[in-house]
Amino acid sequence: MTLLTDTPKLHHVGVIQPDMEAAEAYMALFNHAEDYRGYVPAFECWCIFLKAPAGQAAVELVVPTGGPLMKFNRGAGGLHHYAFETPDLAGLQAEFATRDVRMLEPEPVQGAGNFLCNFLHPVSTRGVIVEYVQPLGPEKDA
Amino acid sequence: MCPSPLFLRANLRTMDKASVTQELTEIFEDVMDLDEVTLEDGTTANDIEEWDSLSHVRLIIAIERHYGIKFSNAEIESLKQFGDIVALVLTKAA
Repeated sequence: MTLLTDTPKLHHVGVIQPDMEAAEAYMALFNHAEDYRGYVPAFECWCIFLKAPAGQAAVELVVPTGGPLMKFNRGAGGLHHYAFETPDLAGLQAEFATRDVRMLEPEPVQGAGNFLCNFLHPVSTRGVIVEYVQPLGPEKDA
Repeated sequence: MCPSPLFLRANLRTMDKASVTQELTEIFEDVMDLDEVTLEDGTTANDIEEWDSLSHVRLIIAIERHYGIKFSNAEIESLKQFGDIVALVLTKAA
């Protein structure tokens, strides 16, 4: 049985912002409101999730503090990735491995909210950055 | 009009290492948006600020399209220095 559904649910779209000031300006521009935020050491970034209608995909503002994300689009930031939900990220990672597709981290990492996450390696997607998210609780199960 | 990949792949078989290096350098400059760069066999991503994991994939795709060849995921991940890319392209032409 595959974990790769043909109707994947979009969890969020990630947009890199060069710094917090730019992130706040972006939110103000669109009258966005912050839902929650968290720091993800594995990816060296703050992740600010914006409020979205219940059950619908959110926008995530990613503010790097170091590492490769700082260099994305020559430091200017921009549209970076989209993320699908999965009920079993470790299982999905194992399934991808059988297809010669690997993920960036050897194990799922704790995300900015109540979820696990990991990215497909960009070599496997020919440069498209795709994340998978496994919600851990009902409060952020959107 | 640009030559077709089939023509370029056929043409690749007649190219020597210096010619391939020159073409790959031009592709590299275009992908990385650099005016002029000196690439040696031992040049790695640590030597070129613009050369990261994403631009590496863009570079490989540009090379694939230019020559009409394909690299496997394992091959792409094995390319650690510029000389590796030159050698692999020449291998594909053989």
